[in-house]
This record gives sequence, structure tokens and C-alpha cells, in this order.
Amino acid sequence: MTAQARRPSRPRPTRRQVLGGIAAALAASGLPACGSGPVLDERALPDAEADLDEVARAFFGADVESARIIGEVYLDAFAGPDEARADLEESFGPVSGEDDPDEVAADLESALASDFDDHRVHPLGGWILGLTELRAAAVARLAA
Amino acid sequence: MFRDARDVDDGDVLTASVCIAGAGAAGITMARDLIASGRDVIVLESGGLEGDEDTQALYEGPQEGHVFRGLGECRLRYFGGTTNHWAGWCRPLEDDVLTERPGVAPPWPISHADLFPYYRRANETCGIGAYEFSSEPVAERAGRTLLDLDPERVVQPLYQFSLPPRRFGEAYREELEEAADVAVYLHANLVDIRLTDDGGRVRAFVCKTLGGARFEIEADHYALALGGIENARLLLASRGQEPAGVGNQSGLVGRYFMEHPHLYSGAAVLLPDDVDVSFYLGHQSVVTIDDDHPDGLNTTAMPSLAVAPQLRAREGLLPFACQIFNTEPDHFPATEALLALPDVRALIRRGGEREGRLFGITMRAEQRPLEDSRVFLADDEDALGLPRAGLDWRIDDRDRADFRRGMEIVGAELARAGLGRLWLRLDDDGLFPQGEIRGGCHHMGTTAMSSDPERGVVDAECRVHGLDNLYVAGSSVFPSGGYANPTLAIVALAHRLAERLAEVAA
Repeated sequence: MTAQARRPSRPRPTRRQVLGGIAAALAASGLPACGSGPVLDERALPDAEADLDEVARAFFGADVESARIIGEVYLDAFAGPDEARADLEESFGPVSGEDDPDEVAADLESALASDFDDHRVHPLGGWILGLTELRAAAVARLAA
Repeated sequence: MFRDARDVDDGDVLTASVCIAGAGAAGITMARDLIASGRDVIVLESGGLEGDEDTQALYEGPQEGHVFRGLGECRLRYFGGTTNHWAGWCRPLEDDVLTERPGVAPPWPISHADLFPYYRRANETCGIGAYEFSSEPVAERAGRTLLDLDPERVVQPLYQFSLPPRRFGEAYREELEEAADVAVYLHANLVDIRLTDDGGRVRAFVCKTLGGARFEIEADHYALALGGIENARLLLASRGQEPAGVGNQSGLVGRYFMEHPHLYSGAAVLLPDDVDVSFYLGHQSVVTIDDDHPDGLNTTAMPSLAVAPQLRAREGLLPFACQIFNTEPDHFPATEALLALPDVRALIRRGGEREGRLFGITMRAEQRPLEDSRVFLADDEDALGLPRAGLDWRIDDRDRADFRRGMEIVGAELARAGLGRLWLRLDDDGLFPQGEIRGGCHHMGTTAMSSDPERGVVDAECRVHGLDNLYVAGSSVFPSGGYANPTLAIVALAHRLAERLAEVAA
């Protein structure tokens, strides 16, 4: 099926609300102890021209705190910062040359749409999330 | 006409052109089709017109492997068989389920096109509408809303419901009572299959009553229509002449037992306020269509969600279908914390008038046929002196991985379309918990169909390999199970087999 023939996606007015809910669910189900794991280390952050904390705020808006909870749970699966960084660069490598946080966030939105198109998702705490939003959430946590 | 086997004298021999053992969905369908065919037909029914404990107890047996319900509970052993508690779900097997699917399941030796004319008749027999199992035209005619999903990713298969579920015993009793050429013997238990001396044909069905009288049926042609477990049991237990049992040269009788793994509340979906899923909400919201459909569609129907067949084939996944149902958030403990957030409370109206925005999802799936998943003969015997049937149901871990991947695809599509987010009940291994898997009382595969006698028990005509005049009806002949509830396919195959019996008995 060509891209043109695909049905248009609906606007996603509730995505951020849902992320907040998922973050709360994850928090209630038991988070790793904050700051204790080897992955909560800024060495896991990808190189970027833009300020990644600003990118996270641009991408998640007012729900960046919820995103950080999701990001912390996502990071907990990695053995160390090098492994985490390699994963995060899968999404952030392509946008590392941008210096405008809003443009980076827009690129991430496009990448997230592609994730759903191509079923690049991961069940975090059972919730099906796109890999880009998971990585962005992890960056939000690391860059805070 | 109806007869009571308890009135037959011990040692009697009855004769017929065709003898059908079992008066459930398959047996009754075949018997009806053979009325006025010019063949004398005897139907053997273990029970009476209503259930009784002693007869029902003949079904009890040991279970190993994955156990979800007692063997005496799943099935009903009286006239009408298990249709006496059938829930009425109808859908044909998916087209591709009958094809070669490497790594998933063997092919059927028949195609959907072979079955299609019989499905149309089965629709009528099962008491549903015309042959229409696409959601789009039904939704359009009923003025109902379908989720706007990309059909290249997630399709929306339609179920029709026989409502109230057609109880074959009640619905077709009068017709069989009035049939002069069909004799239904109640309280007649098939206990042995006797072969001719050369072993090439069945010579007689040996019957016994709970009172102890034995008699034989000598017929030109015989059909087993006892259900997915009992068909195998009778073949295995008939070992007086063949030590491994009748029709068991391949050693496959009883093997490759399949169920439809069900995950009730295996997932939940969080939907925005404005998404209308009323058409999907199971028996709570079925829609009756009574209009001018060219085929006279008049049915009760409900769509489901499933991974598109092409995508499923590319990824080598088992098929499954999801039903959405109303639930309370606390039915899903992992999602309870959602309620703590004010903005999510706006999405989930807990305690409302069943309008909550968190919906449960039930998955009904196919499983890979496994040789070690089997019906076996137990050491102890039932009241008739027949070895009890035991069941060892196995589920491959690859199946659970397939279910997860399939649900990831459904979840990605819901998210892509902005329709909501999916939550899966996964264990520490990231799979659906084995202990949460239930069955559907859909017993399949124990006398599987194959053109190759080394790979199946019956051929494409449902005739037992190596025997000229013994046929098997019912879901035991399914080489693979798909996800659709099996009754419609059982009845379609029974119509087809009856046609064959009418021909060969001529």
C-alpha cells in the first residue's frame, strides 16, 4: 500500500494525557530507585547541537514530568550508559545536527509516526509505546 | 424416528446404509441431510433428550499439561450435544488458515472455495444471516461506526451470532422424529469399532447401554461425529484387531490436539472520549440487521480486531481476534494508578453508566499444532468398561510470543490512528502469562485431515486413511484451528460429508 493510499491519521489530542496516565501507572507499579542505577548517567545522553532538556520540553510540553517517569523505567532495562546511549542514538543520531529544539521535536514527531507505521513499538509496563517516544522520555530524564 | 437403545435386546444386530455415531452439531446436520436420500440411517446418541449425570460422567477423564476446565464440563452428552450450551458465535475459518503456513501449521487438503457452498448452508443450519463476514457493509447498513484503521495493518473481522443460540437438539428434533428413514437411538454408546478380517473396512459399530446390553450396527458406511476428544478416544480404544487402534497406522490418532487459547482481560485499551466503540461491545451491544441486503441479511453481528492476513503472513504470526468489552479499571490492577491523574479521570469515567473509556480486550487465538498435545487413553475405565479419555493440552512458547507481537501491531495501529493506547498483561518474560490462558471448549485436531496417510488420519473427504467406509466429522479433522469459533466450519464440513455419504451409499 502506498503512503498516499493510507488513511489519514486522526489528530492525537489525548496522547499527552495518556502518557501522564501511563507514567502514573508505571510509578505505582514500582520504579527503580532514583539515581541508583548505572544508567542514570549523563554519559548515556547522545551528542546533540540542541539543548536536550529543551528538546524534551518541546516534545512533551507540560507532560515532561510524566515523560521522565516513563524514561526512567525505560532506562532501567539497560546494563550501563554505553548500552543506553547506543539505543538512544538510534532516534537522536539523525537529529543531532539540529540546533533548534522545536525543529528537533518536530523531527521526533515524524519519527514517532514512522514507528507506528512500521510497528516499532515496545511494551513498557505492558503499555505499547513507540520507540521514539520511549527514547525521548529517556532523554528527558537524563537531561533534566 | 426415535428409538430407545435400552429396548434393544442384548446381542441384536441392527442394519442400515449409514450409521452416524453422535448427535451433536455434526451428527444432526448429516442426519438431516440424509433424510429422504434413499438411505436408511441409524444415529447413535449416548444420552437421552435431556442430560443425566451418569451419561455425562462418561466424559470425565484425567488432564495433564495446560488445564483450564474439566473434560466433563466442556461438553454435553445428550441429544444436540454441546450445542446445548453453545454461545452462538459464528465465523468461517480465515482463507489463509487452510493454506501452507511454514512454521505455523500444515495446510488443509481442501480450500476455502471447496467449503464455501457448504458454509452458505451452514449459516442457515446455525440460524444466522446470509454469508457476510465483512464488517464494513454490515456497519454501513446498520448505521454503526467502525474504528478508522488501516486495513493493510489491522482488519475488523465480523462475527455473526446465532441468537438465541440454536440448540440443534431442540431445533431439529421434530424433523428427525418425522423422518421414516432415520432412526435415532438414544442411550446408545459406541464402545468398539470392529473391522472386517482383512482390516480394510468397518464391519460393525458395537454399542452398549449403561444397563449393560450390547448390540451391533452393521452398515455400509460409518461416520464418527462424537467430538474432538471422543472421536480419537473411540479409534484408540478399538484395539481388538489393531493394537494401536483403528485408523492409527500413522500413530497420529489423538495427537495434535488444539484449542483456541483465550486471554480474557489479556489487554486493555485506553480510548479518547469521542471514539465510538459501541458496535464492538460484545453481547452488550450487538446489532440486529433486518433490511434489504441482496442475500437477505438478517443477523446479529459484532466486529473484532485482527492483524491483517498479509502482514501476519509476512511476520509468520498466528492469527487471533480481539473483542473489546466494557470493564472497570480496577479489573486491570496495573492500570489503577491511571485514576490518580485528573486528566486521565477525564478519559476514564469510573463507575459511569458503562461508558468507561478504559476497555478490556479478550483475545481468541490459534495455536501451533504440537505432536505432544494429545488425547490419550487413561488407565481407568468408565461405567461402560471403555478406557477414559485423558487430555494433555500443550501450548508452544512461540505462540505466546506471536500473541505479543500481534498485539504490538494492533497497539501501534491504534496509536498511529490516534485512537488510543493499548496495555498488555505480560509476565516477567514479556509474554502473556501461561496461567492466564483459557480454552474455549473448542477441541480440534485429533484426527487431522491430510492427503498424506503419514501426516493425517483422514483424507480430504474425511475418510479414515486405509479404511473404505469409515468417515470422521467434526473439528477433530481440522489440521489447524484458526481463531474462529469452530461450529460454523464443523457444520459446513458435515454438510459436505453428508453429500459424500449420500453418493457412496447409493
